Amino acid sequence: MIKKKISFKLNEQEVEVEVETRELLAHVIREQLGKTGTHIGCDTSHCGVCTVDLNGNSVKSCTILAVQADGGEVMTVEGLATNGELHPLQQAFIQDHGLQCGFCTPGMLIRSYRLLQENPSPTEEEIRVGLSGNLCRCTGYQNIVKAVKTAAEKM
Amino acid sequence: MGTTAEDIARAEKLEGIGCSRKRKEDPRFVQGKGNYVDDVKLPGTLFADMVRSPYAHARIISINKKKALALKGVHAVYSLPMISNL
Repeated sequence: MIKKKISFKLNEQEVEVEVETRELLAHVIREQLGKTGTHIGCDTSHCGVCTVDLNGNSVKSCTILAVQADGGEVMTVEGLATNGELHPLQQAFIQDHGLQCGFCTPGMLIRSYRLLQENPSPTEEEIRVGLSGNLCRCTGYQNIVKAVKTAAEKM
Repeated sequence: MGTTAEDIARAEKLEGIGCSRKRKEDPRFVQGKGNYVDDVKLPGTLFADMVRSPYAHARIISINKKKALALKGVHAVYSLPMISNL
């Protein structure tokens, strides 16, 4: 079992952890760093609930090795709010009822965050394509798309 | 339901049938504080793994647990006879 010490920025804070080289980023974030906002839904990179932001890209953290994050910058759902103030996306999801059971929500939020960085005023079609890697098992897509649209208008 | 500012103001005032209600749990969920079963960590938690038959159509004659039980970290292997009284 090969272990490696890695360090990266997690939600603006420098973290250092010793990981097995085979360990996945999702597991390290959840188990070692205690940030359970990032969920694991399928372990096969289909569902997108484990989506985090790595160096300015949306990645499915169940398909990325933790060592690949070494020296990088990671943002999870816990990093969206600033000083207790909810991010416009978080507010819009609440307002537009963009969540039901809430399990896919962290992935949806963090993916939408990147989507709006890349395209600040997306069309409905562009939102749907942009979120196509994230599944909502409650099938609440209508309101998720609506919420992203609302957030885009407010940002 | 109408969507003009007046309609929305009236619906909010009514607080009844047909008006949108803010859910209490949403602020938790949008901040990753949902606390789902997989997020719960209790001391001594073990993991269970289901072993399925590698054959699509077959009869189970016997189950040999020896090798599984000998593995480091394995606490128990359950099969039907051990839990059939539940």
